[in-house]
Amino acid sequence: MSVEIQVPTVLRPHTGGERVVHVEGDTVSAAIASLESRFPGLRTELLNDDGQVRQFVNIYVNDEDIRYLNRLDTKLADGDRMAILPAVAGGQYRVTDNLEGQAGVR
Amino acid sequence: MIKLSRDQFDTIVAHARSGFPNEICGILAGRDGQVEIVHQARNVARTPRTRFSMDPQDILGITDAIDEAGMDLLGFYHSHTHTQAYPSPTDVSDWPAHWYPDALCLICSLMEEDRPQLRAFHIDAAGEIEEADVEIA
Repeated sequence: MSVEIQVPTVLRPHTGGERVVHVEGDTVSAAIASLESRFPGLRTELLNDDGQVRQFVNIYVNDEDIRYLNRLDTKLADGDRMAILPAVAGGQYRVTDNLEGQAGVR
Repeated sequence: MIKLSRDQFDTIVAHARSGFPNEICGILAGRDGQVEIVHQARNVARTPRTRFSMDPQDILGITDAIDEAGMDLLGFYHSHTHTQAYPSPTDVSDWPAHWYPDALCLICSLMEEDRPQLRAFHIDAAGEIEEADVEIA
């Protein structure tokens, strides 16, 4: 089965500049393996040495974050859209932790 | 060095104030260090008063727009509502230096209500912080 993968700007050097590529795979993990076979080196941009999704990477299937699905084992169906998206995060901390209405700081 | 117009600075401060008490975030695009467009993004963090997590779909859309316009992604900005305009340990640990080695981390502090501050930092993959000049003209 074929799934569509959206590739972010920072990873397009791996795909020859292609914004969207199509690969085979019935799970996210299998799709990443297909990606790697076509575009060697891409897997290590997405997964760490333990085979988990890197901190700075988000993977969505049909607009759902796979962290809230079945992670790398999330099933893919023919025509599904998978998006690889950069993660950008941060924020002030500690002194304002209690502003969240949580009990106490530290 | 990053250069902004007074209007662009005011836009970022207005964005920060409009999001208060939550943190806000966005992306600055331009050429040769001169900001041309201030792209606002959504903060989808679960605890937005103390954290920001830029909406991934916004990042995709904005970075595509920057690419198509032939501009550079100059920096990511976010607000600190109650702390100084300096990278927190969270800012450093979450900073995507691997993917955006040249982008600056800009922080707009509302700690002093009448004197919002905007400062810029280069954060490398090892977590080293170096301040960059912000020129507002």
